[in-house]
Formats: sequence, structure tokens, C-alpha cells
Amino acid sequence: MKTATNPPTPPQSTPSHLVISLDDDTPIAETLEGLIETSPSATRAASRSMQTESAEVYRGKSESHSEVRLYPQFNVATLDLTAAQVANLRSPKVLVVPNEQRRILGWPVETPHPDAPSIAGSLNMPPSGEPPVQDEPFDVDQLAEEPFGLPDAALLQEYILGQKDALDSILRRLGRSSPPDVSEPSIEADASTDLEWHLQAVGIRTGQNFLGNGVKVAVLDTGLDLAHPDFAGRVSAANCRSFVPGMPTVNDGNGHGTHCCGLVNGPVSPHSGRRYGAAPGAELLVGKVLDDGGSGYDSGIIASIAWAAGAGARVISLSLGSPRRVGSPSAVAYEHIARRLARAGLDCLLVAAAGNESRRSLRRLAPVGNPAACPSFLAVAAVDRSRRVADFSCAQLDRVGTLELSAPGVAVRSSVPTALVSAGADPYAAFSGTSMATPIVAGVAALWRQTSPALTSVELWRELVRRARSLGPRRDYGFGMVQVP
Amino acid sequence: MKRGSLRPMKIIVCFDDAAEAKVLSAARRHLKEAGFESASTPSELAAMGMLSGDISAAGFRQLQAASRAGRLPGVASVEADGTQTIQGDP
Repeated sequence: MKTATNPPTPPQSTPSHLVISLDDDTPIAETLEGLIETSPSATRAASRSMQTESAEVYRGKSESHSEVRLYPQFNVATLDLTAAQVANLRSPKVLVVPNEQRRILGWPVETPHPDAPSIAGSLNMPPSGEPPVQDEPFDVDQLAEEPFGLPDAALLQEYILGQKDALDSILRRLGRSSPPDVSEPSIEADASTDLEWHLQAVGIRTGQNFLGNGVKVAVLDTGLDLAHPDFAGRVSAANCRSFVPGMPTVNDGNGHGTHCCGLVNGPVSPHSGRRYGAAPGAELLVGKVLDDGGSGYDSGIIASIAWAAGAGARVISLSLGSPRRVGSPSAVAYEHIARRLARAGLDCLLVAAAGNESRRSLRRLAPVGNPAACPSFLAVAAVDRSRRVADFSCAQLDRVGTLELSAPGVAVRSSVPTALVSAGADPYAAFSGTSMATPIVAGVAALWRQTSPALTSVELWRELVRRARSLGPRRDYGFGMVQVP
Repeated sequence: MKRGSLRPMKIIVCFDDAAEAKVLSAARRHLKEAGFESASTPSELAAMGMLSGDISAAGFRQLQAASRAGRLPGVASVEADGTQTIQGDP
């Protein structure tokens, strides 16, 4: 492949899509093989569109012979694609982002990265902070009245976030961090969906045909109300085990465990309200490791991890922890069990709550606690409906306690024990905490397990992190919001 | 000895899974001599090469110091059996 040196030439028209190869080892030209001519256009040589980076201009093989611009430095191309071509191109290693409807964008980056305008400009994206490129503002009322042909709110939101992903990917390639703490559309109550906001936030859609079927997920917590209308008859006795001395059953006298179980495995059509479980088709294992006061010993928790893994759990959710000081080590025994399980061939993903000790509104940050700080445990931060980090969510403040993913963890609705609500009231409640974010990640991991059963836990970890939707600094969000396959 | 140092505490002992059976047997004997009672160890934990149980605070400090100094062959770590709590409402 050659890079020509002719003077800059503006694009002939606005290309319909951006294509980004997420695999640094696969050149973008290789990704587009079959869609473009094998060498740059003879008549339209490359342009130097920004600073030191140049574009290679090709002709597409489609009927329109539209112009294709390759930015090898970023592994990005801009071109026109049909819906079928988009479908063919999309893969875990290729991000395809629409490059149309720019008029609807109030560019989501409130605090622009100093370099964002030039980068965005080179890709025909609206520069940060500037008004939309084209004509009139987006009219929400008009959209609501339009019966066909216009995107619904979820699609619109996906489009905006997709554009942001594209910019983030480019910034990463340039060795620069993402714009900090971006403002994104808040996920508001939408009468047209039967999904709670926390499921919408991770990309779950109504009618999605993967629900975690065939995947065992363990929730190790305060137990489960087995008589809850959403769980009665759904969890076998063999899948329940108490590790709390003096408490022979998994009955949940606290509420926390039932809430966490619901976030993983609440049914598609609950007794009341919208769907709140990320993986309704998964097989739930319930380990009671915390007493009804919400506290439990490491020995019981570690034993339950071994039990769950031995029972076939492919994902284990731990919405528990203890504070850790900056620089202090992670919990030895938890790492020990994780490595023993791996050596024993018991391949399960361990997901743990980062902790709730921060008070960001008071400018206080606490480090990721244990066991989330252990290298083999995927640590989860909590975000609110606006995808901003929760006030309490622990941060990555040292090399020990790294954050991997974020998920909804503020005012998240799920099941609670019937005995803990007043007579006649629906047994659901909204809780907050990294505890709530953790089972959502576990549920999403189960969906990945179903769709990509060959992935090992290490590979699944990488995939979850790589496909996360960037939200801001890694210190606060890890690699971003977990996303369904 | 400080006041309260005989108060029992819960600990977790992780064995070195690469150690030979003879070494592990010697390590268990050493732990017992230090006052460690492992009767409360869940079977799943034992199967993974770990023991939990009670020991005096003084015994724990001695064992932990010996382990960290490499004077307890077959023992990977000796840690307090800490408590964890829920990380969300209620």
C-alpha cells in the first residue's frame, strides 16, 4: 500500500459510515478487502488532512464507486456502505459507526479534549463544542410523531454513543486519554420499552434472543427469597447452599441477595413492572455467604466460590467487600482460590463490587476494596442514569486495585423478599451501590457466555473490557460501561 | 505477652499446592503445635488446599511472621479470616 503526497482534496460527499479496526494487527485496508480497489485511486491521490497524518483515497467497488478514505495511522476508514455491508463488516474486531444525521448531534463532549476538533474534523465528524454541521436542530416532538423511517430514542442514543466510541478509539491510538467525564443522554423512563433503565444502559433490547440460556451464574450474597413470585419454582434446591454457620438455608432475611439475584436472573416478564434481570435464561446458583446483617467471613465466601465453580458456575457475582488502604495489598486468600480454580480447570469469571467508600461530592476518593482488588477478580464501578460515576463508587487509586468495568448502580430496581415489604406491596425496590452494578455485569457476562461459549474466562474478560463503552477516566469508570454481545 | 493476645481469632491458611505431601504433613503438624484448630474448615475449602479455624492472636502473629519469613515450608500464606459486607442497600 502506498501513501501519495498530492495536495489535500476535500471529500466528494459525506460518507455514510466510519469503519474502525479494533485489532491493531489488522490494517484497515485488510478489513475492507473486497469493498475497495486494491490500490489507491489513480486520479485522486491521498490528501494530508490533518497535521502529520495522511489519508489514502480509494475507489469503492460498489455500484456508486464512492470515495473511500483510509486513515492507516488510526486504522479508520470513511466510506459509503449498504446495510448488508455493515452487517458483514461488524465483528468483535470491527466497529462500524453511522456518519449521517449529523444535524441531530449536540456533540456529547461537554469538556472537549484540546485535540478533539482536529481529529473529528479529519473524519467529517462535527468538532467538539461546535454547532451541528447541517441545518435545523433535532426536534424530539417531530420524531415522536413520525411513524416510520426515523430512529427511535434508543437508536438515537446508540448513534451518539457510537460516535463517541469512534472518537475514543482514535484518541487511544494517538496515545491520549478519553475526554474526561463526558455528559451523555440520561436514560429516562420510556413508556415504549418493557426494560428497566439499567438494562437499556448495557445494550439489552426487547426481544433479544440471547438470555443466558445454558449458563450457570452464581450469586454469593445474603441468599434469595425462594418464594418470591419471580423465583418460585425457578431455582432448584441443589443450586442453593448456605455457608453461614447456624443458617441452614439460603433464605434471605436481608434483601440484598434477592436484589442481586434479580439483577442477574429476574424473569423476562416479572410479576410486576418491567424486566430487570440481565440474564433471565441463565441457571442461578445461590450461595448464602453473608448473614442477615449483611456480613460474612472470608472462609465461607471462599468455600462458596469453590462450591459454585465445582457446580459448574461460569460466572460468579460477589456484591461484597471490605475497604482497603491505598497501596495495601489485595486479599491473598481470594487470589489463592482464583488460581487454584484455574489450575483445576474450573473456568469461571469472578466479578466483584469495587466498593462504596468514596464520597466524591466531598472530594473524597477511596481505593477499590477487597476482593475486587485481587488480580483475578473483575472490579465493577457504579454509574447513575446519566452514566456519571456514582458518588460512592471506589476509584482506581493504585496499581493494586484496578477498575475494569462500570454498570448501573444508582437507584436500580430489582426484586426484594416478600417478607420485607408491607402487605400487598409489590416485592421490588430500588437500591444503590456497586453491589447493584456487579450482578448486572455478571448477567451480561452470562449473555456473552451463551453467544461465545468457546471463550475462556480470560478471553471473556478481555472481550468485556474491549467492548465496553468508554465513559471517562479509567480511574473512575475502568474501561467503561459493560455491553451485551 | 500483651493483654488480650490469647483471645482466639479466625484465620485462613493457604498451603503451597506445589509442595510434596510430606512437606504438607509437616506444615499441618506445625500449625497444630502453634494452637491452630481447623475443625471448622468447610470441605470445599480443604479441597482447594486451604484451612480455616481458630488460633490465639499471639499464635497467629507467630505463624504469620514465620510464613512471611519463609520458615513454614508448605504454607503459602497465613491471613486473618476477615469479614466482608454487602456493598449496597439496605
